[in-house]
Amino acid sequence: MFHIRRLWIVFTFLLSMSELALCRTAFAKDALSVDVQFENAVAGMASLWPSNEVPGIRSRIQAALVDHLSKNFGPWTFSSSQPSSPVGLLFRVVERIPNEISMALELRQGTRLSSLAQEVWLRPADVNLQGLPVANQADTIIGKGFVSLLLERQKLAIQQKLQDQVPLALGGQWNDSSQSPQFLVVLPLSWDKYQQLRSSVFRLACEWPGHGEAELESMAPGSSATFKPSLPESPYQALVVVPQWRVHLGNRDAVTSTNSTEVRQLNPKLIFLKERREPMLWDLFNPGGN
Amino acid sequence: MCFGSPIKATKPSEVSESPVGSAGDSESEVIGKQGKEKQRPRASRELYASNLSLLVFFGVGLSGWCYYYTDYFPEVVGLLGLGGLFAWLAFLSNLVSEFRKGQLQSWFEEAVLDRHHTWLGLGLLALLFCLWATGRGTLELASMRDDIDRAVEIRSYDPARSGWGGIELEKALASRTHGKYLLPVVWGGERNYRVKVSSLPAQTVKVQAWHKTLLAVPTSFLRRPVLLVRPSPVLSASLENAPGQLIVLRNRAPELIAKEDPYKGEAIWLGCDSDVALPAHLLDRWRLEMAAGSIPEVAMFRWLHPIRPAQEIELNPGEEVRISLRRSDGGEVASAVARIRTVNRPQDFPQEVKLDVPH
Repeated sequence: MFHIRRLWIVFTFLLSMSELALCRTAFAKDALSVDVQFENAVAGMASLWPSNEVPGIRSRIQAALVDHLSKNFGPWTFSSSQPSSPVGLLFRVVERIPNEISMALELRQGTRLSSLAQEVWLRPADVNLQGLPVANQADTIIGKGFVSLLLERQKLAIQQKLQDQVPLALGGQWNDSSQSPQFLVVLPLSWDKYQQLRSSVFRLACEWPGHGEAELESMAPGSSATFKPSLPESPYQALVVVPQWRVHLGNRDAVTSTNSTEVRQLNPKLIFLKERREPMLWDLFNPGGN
Repeated sequence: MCFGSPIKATKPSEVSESPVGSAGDSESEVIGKQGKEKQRPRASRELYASNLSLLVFFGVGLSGWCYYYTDYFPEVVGLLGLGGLFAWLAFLSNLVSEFRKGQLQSWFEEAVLDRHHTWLGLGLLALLFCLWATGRGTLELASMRDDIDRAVEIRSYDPARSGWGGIELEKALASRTHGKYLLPVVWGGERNYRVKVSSLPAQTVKVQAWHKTLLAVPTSFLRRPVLLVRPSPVLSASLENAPGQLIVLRNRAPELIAKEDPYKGEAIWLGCDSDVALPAHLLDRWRLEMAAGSIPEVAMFRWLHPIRPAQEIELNPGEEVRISLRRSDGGEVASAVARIRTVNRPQDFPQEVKLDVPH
C-alpha cells in the first residue's frame, strides 16, 4: 500500500512536471505568470446575471484579485490574461449545500485542480434575507469577499501552499565550471525584478537522467550571472543560487566537491521558493554582490 | 275622493247637534244609532268574505315573499305593528278618538270590503307585483361560520361592454349572520353577478328570477381556482435588488394572460384580487417551512401582501398555466408549470406555485 502511494506521488509529480515543461519555451525569459480566473459555480447566482454582463463582471473580479495578489503575494507574477499558463489560481463561488455559498481558491497545475483554501461566505439565513449578489454589485461584493475571507484571513497558509506548489520559474542553467570555480545555478529570474530574493532559499525540482527526479535545496548568495535563454531571446542578468543539498528518493545529501560532478548531471526544471529571506541592506556591497 | 263623504257626514259637531243623540248617550251608542239611521243596503256576506280573504291572502303572500326573498321583513312587520319608524303613527292614532276610528273602520268596510271592484283591484295589484318580482332574483350570503365582519360588493355583468358593470350594491355583512340581496335579472330569466366579499376571492354567480341563490361565506368563495405564485426567500430577496419580469402563459398554445414588469419578488395572486387574505393554514405551513430551513421568519414579510396582475384573470380547472420569471435581458431565471385543480375543500385554497433559483 505504501509503495502504491509513493508511486502515485511520483507519478503526479512527473505529470505536473511534464505539463509545466511543455510551456518552458514560452516562459524561458522571465518568471512564470500565474493565471488568475474567477468562476461562478452557483447556478442560482448565474441565472440572475444578464448574460451580456457576465464577461464584464468576471474581468472586474479577476482584475481586483490580480491587483491584490500582486501587492500582497510576491514574488509570483499574477495575470488574468494568461489562460495558457500551466499554473493558475481559480477563485470559485460554489454552493455545496443549498443556499450556502462558499468561496474556494483552487490551484490549477496543468489540468489538475487542488484546493488551497475554502470558507463559507453566505449562510442560508444570509442568502434568504439578503438574496444573492445581483449583476450591478456582484464584482465589488465578490471581489471583497475573496480578499477578506481568503486572501487576508488565510494569507500565511496560502503563501505557504504557493511556495510549495507554484514554481517561480521554469528551468535553470549551470554556470560554466571552466570559467568559474563556483558551483552555481543561474535561474531565469531577472536580477532587476527579483533581486529582493537574493538571500532566499530555493528548491529546484530537477530531472536526473537515469535516476528519475531529484531536488536541489539552494541558497541565493546575493549575486547575479548571465542567463542565456534559447534564441531569439537575448541574455540577461539573473539571480543565481548555490546548491546546498540534494534530495533523492528520501535521502538528503550535502552538495560537496566530491559529488559535484554527479550533481551537475541534474537538469533544473521547476524553481520553487522554499524560504523567503529578506536581504540585509548592505548585502549589495558584500564581496560577491553585484 | 271617496274618502270625503263618509267622514264629512259624521263630523262631531253635526253629531252633537243631531236630534237622535241625547245628552248622556255614549259615543258608541250614538254611532250605533246613527248607523241604524243611515243604514244602506250592505253587500253580501260572500263578497265581504271573499274580499277579506283576498286581502289576507295578498298580505300574507307579500309578507312571505318579503320574508323569503328579502331582508325587509322586520321593516314590514315594524310597519304593520306601527313600530320603529312608524311609532309616530301609532302615537297619533292614540290621539284619535274611538269614534273616529270606528268611522274609519266603517269607511274601510264600505269602500273596500263591500265593493265588487276590490277583488279586481287586488288581483291587478298582485299581478303587477308578480310582474315586477319576475324581474328580480335573490342572492343570499350566509356567514354562519365566519368570524369576520365583511363588506359585500355586487356588480352586474354587462354584455354590451363585455365586462362588469358598476356597483349594483354595497353592504356590510356581519359575522355569523346572513344577508339577502334582491337583484334585478332579465325578466323571467337570469343574470350574472360578480360578488366580492372583502378578503375573499370574487365569485361569479347566476341569479335567477323567483329563485334564491345561497352562498356560504367564506367556503363558497374559496372554491374558486386561484394560484398563489411564491418565489423562494432567496429569489424574493434577490429580485428586490434586481427586479425581473414575471410572465404567465395559459395552455400549450401560449396565451399571455399576465405580465408583471418590474417584478420585485412579492407573492402574486392569479385569479383573485390583491385584497384576498392569506389563509391561516398557509401561513402556518410557511412558518414550518421557514423553521425547517433555518430561515428567519422575517423573510415571510415579502409574501404577506400578495399583489395581482393589472388585468383580471379567470382560471378554470384543467387549464395549464406556465409561469416564467425572466431577467431584464429576457433570460429565464426560474419557471413552473401548474395544472389548475378543482378546489373541493377550503384547505385546498389556494393552489400554491413555488419559484426558486436553480441549485
